[in-house]
Amino acid sequence: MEISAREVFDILVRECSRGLRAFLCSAVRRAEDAEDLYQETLVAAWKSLDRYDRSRPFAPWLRGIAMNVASDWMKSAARRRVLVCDEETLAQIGNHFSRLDGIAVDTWEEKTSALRDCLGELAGDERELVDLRYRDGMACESIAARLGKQAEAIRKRLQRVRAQLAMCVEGKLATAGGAP
Amino acid sequence: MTPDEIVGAMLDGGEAPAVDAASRAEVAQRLFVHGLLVERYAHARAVASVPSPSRSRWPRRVASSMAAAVVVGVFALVFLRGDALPSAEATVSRAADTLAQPVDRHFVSHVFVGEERDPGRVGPLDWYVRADRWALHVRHPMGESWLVGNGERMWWVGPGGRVWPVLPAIVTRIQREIDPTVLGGNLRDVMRELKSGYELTTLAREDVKGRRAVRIRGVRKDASRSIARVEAWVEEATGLVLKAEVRFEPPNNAVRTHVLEFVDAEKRDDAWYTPEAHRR
Repeated sequence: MEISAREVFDILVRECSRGLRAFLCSAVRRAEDAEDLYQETLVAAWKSLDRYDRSRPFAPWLRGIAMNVASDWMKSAARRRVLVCDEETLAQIGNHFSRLDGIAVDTWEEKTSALRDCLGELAGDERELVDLRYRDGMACESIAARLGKQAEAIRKRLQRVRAQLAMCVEGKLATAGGAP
Repeated sequence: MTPDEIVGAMLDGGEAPAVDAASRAEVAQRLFVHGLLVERYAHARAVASVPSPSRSRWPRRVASSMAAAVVVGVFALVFLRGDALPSAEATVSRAADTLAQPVDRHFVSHVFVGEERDPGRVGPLDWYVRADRWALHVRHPMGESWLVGNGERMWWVGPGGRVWPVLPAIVTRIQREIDPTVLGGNLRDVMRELKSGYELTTLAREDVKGRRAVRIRGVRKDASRSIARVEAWVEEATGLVLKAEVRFEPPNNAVRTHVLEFVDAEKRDDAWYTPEAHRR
C-alpha cells in the first residue's frame, strides 16, 4: 500500500480536528461560522505542508495556520463580522489550547474531561441554561421567552455561568498538569 | 465593561466590543471555554445525526417527530425481534468507538500474499493498541522491527535498535524492504476507514472462539482506496473486533490479505507505546 503525503496528512488532521474546531469556535458566535474557517485552515495547511517540521507536534502547527487564516479574515470587512475577538485575544486563547496539548492522554474527550466534570457540577437551572444556549443554539431572547424571564437577566446569568465554568476548568487543568 | 460583560456582548448580543489589555486574559479564558462548549455540543449533534438504514424507509406522510417516534416504537414491537442483526454502519461505528477506548489490546496478524494467499515474508505481526497509541512488532527477513505511534507521530525501531522518526522516506523504505501493506493493518485505522466510501453489509451472527459476534463486510466504492475489502467479526456484547480479514490491493504489487485476531487485553505500561521501550 502506498501511503501518500495526503493520507498521512488526513490521519494527522483527523487526530487534531476536534481541537482545531474548538479553537476556531472560540473566535466565533456559532459552530457554523467556524466551519468555513476550518475548511480554509485545512487548505492552507495542505499547501504549507512542505514547511511543516515533522519533529514538532502537528496540532500547534495547525493552530498557527488557523490563526493566520483568522488574521486574514480580520482584514476583510465582510468576514470580520463573523469573528468576535482580535488577534491578541485569539493568541491568548491559543495558549489555553496549548495547555490541553500538554495533557498526556490520548483522546479529545479525555483532554476536555475538565469541562465535562465542571458541567456536571453546575446546578440544574444553570445546566439547563447552557443546554439551551449551546445544545439548542437558542438566543438569549428565546431562552428568556422559554423560561419566562427578562432577556437581560438571562444574559447576565449566562455570563456568570461562563465565568464559573472558566474558573472550574482552570482549576482542574492546573491540577491535571496543564498549567501554563 | 467587565470581562464577563465584554464576552457577553461578543457572544450574546450585537457588536463585539474592543478588548482592553487589562481584560484580555479573562476574556480569552471565557472564550476558550465557549469554544470548548460549542465544539462539544456540535460534535454530540453530529454523532447523533448519523442516519440508520431503517429511518430512510419512513413514509413521507409521517410529518412530526413525535409521530415518527410512535411509528418507531410500533415497528420495533411488531416487527423487530431481539435477535435482529444490527446495521453494518452501527457495528462499524461501535467497533471504532471500542477501539478508541484507552484499553490495552493485543491483536496478532498474519499476512498472506496473492489470490492463493501464500504465506508472506512478513509475520506474524503483533499489534498492541491503546486508543491512539499503538506498537507493532514486525518479524521480516531483515530481522525484527518495531513501529510505534501515537495520534500525531510515528517511529521505526530498526533491526539494529536505532530509532527513526517515520518520514515519507522511511515509509518508502518500509514499503520496499518489509511489506507495502504493513503500516495499513492498524485495526483502528481500518475501522475508521470503513466509515465512509465503503458499501457495508451485515452478513450473519457467528461464534468466534465461543464469543457471539456479528460478521460484517465492507467493499470499497472506488478503486482509489487501498483497502479493497474488509470482513470483521465484532463481538455483540462489547463492540470488540475479534477477527478481521483486510484485503489490500497495493499499486504495482500483489494483493495482500491481513488476517487479524484478538489475543488479549493484558494491561501494559505507558512506556510500551514509546520507541525507547523496544530498543535493543
